Amino acid sequence: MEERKVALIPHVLFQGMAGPKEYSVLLTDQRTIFVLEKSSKAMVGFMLGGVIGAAIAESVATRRVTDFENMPVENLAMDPKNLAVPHGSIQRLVMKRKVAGASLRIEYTRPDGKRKKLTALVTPRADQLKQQKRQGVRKKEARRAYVRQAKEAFERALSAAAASRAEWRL
Amino acid sequence: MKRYQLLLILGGIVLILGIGMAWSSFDSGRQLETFSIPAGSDWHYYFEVSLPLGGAIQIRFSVLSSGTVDTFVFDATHYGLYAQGGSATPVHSETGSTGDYAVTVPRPGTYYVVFEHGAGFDDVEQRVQTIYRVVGVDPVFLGIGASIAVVGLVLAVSGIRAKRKEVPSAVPPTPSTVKFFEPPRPPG
Repeated sequence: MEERKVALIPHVLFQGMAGPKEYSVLLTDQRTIFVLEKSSKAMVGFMLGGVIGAAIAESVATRRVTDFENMPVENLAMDPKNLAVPHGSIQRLVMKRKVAGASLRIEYTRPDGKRKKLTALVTPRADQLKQQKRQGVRKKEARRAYVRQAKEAFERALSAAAASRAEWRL
Repeated sequence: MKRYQLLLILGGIVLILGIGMAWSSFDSGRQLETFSIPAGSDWHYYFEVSLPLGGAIQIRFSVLSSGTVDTFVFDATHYGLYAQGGSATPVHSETGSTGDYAVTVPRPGTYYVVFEHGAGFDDVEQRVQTIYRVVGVDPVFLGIGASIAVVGLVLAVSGIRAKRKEVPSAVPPTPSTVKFFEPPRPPG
């Protein structure tokens, strides 16, 4: 049966060694695929300091643009910079409210049998928050709405078995 | 790597080098010297320092062996006279087994810090330790550092401008809100 795209969460953050990494999350009816959007080099900027440091960090940050509409799911899943988690391998999924949005914790089993945990911050992009603020939506409300939509996206994508292992503490 | 990235990285590195060089022109740091003045009234020990306009030298010394030493700070002309055994006027002089003094010089240039046997200690070898520090702005270092920093800044600003001129990607941007894909329509 062909894998079907269900939803796209455009922005989650992972904390990396060199700075935060920004991912999009493509949810299909079989997998959750974290697609790398931007790999920050915030540490570079921190070390250099100032406006120039920030500009350099921004310039050396690796940005990727993905055509989610047209790119086949398999291509995204096979990309080594991305991370695909089959829904059947999910042991536990917890989404918990945080000040900046919600933490998403997924515990799953890799094909080699190793258990893995990943934690991301589900939060809208800063430019999106600014845009909504201009439209009179407070940041807190915008974040909550985003988290609600992300939850709905997971609920639509997860199978009944995987959904039974999900906890929503929002 | 794109052109603007190269410009920004290069500009950043050059800027940091320039700022570092300009910063280092303000303070040479402390220097430690340990030396011996051989026995005999003809012997003295000296080191030269380059002092900028309004610069000063701070000197702390201590005789590690025995006795006292006489220490002088001369400008180049008077050091020449002193070395030839003539009458020379120091900018500053001090005597003792230990001492700590600072001299602000009237003109920029090369100065000589001289140590010789104190009265009654000509016939013994004396071991002396001194810590000195040059205070002031080295105009050459400051000028070169500032110039390099300006070059770095220009490169970095060019990089920022080049980035702004970049042609946007043809791929549609990722949506800013959660997007739900249309479910497939049942056949028929």
